[in-house]
Amino acid sequence: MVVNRPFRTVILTERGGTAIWGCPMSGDAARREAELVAAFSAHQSALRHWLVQAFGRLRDEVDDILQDALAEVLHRVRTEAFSPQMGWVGYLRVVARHRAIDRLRDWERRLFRGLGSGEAWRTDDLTRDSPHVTDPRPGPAEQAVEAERRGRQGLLLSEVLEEFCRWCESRPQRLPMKEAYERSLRGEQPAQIAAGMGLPAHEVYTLLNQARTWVVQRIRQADVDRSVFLTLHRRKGE
Amino acid sequence: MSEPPPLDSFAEVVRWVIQELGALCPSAERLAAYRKHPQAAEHHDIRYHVEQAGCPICRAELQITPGTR
Repeated sequence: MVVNRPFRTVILTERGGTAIWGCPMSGDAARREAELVAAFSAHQSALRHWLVQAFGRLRDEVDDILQDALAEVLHRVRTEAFSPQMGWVGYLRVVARHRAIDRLRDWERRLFRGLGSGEAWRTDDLTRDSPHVTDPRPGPAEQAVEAERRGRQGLLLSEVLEEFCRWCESRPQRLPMKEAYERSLRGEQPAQIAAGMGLPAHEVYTLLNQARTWVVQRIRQADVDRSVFLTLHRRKGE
Repeated sequence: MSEPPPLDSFAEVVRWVIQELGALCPSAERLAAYRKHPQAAEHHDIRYHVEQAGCPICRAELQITPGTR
């Protein structure tokens, strides 16, 4: 329940409910906060549905994510006189998406730390046509170290690929490179990529080579102690 | 969480960061532009990402009720 008066703070209760708390607030901030909470209440169901569709693995946490997002936006409203150009619901979605990905990454860290047996993790070679390969398994003594390394690997790869996307999107002529590389990472062979994109094969090879070079260089810059992507740093014949 | 991801290989790590963390998703601005003009030549990469690869994050983003943005 939301009470529209200039002295109050909205406190979230379990599963999306709201409660009112008293605290001094300017009339303008109170108006923005009332707009935000009203938008949240009106679109909470749609936001929940969207989160479940986008992040199915987090379906049991969508209410917590939405509450975190609302609390974060409320904090900005109170401390920065914030009012997003994209509207309250659009901004709530942006924040909720970030918080969802934060949770997946946190979970990823825990998961990788907990992995202990049976992993086949010795090939990290992004320079191949696709990562869909069968790897030899590490010995038992290496598994704990490998699990920790794999955790850092996933996080680093995620950040580098996001940076790669933004770099491609900054110049329209780089967009085919992004698509070709995504197709490659999703398992398509160069001939399939050429057919799918309507490009000659030699152009696909060029695009893939450029993309891999960019990604590998970024990884090498980030993986300064060469401890995350082992095979990426090996020279031929090693 | 109810379903732990299978992370038995480097391929699964790649799948995880692309499909679930959205590492190759287009920017919000380009996705919004794609929504308005899905057949535009400059959106070819997004068409693949959304329609062929079936990115669940972008699909959900595009299915949100118009007017709630």
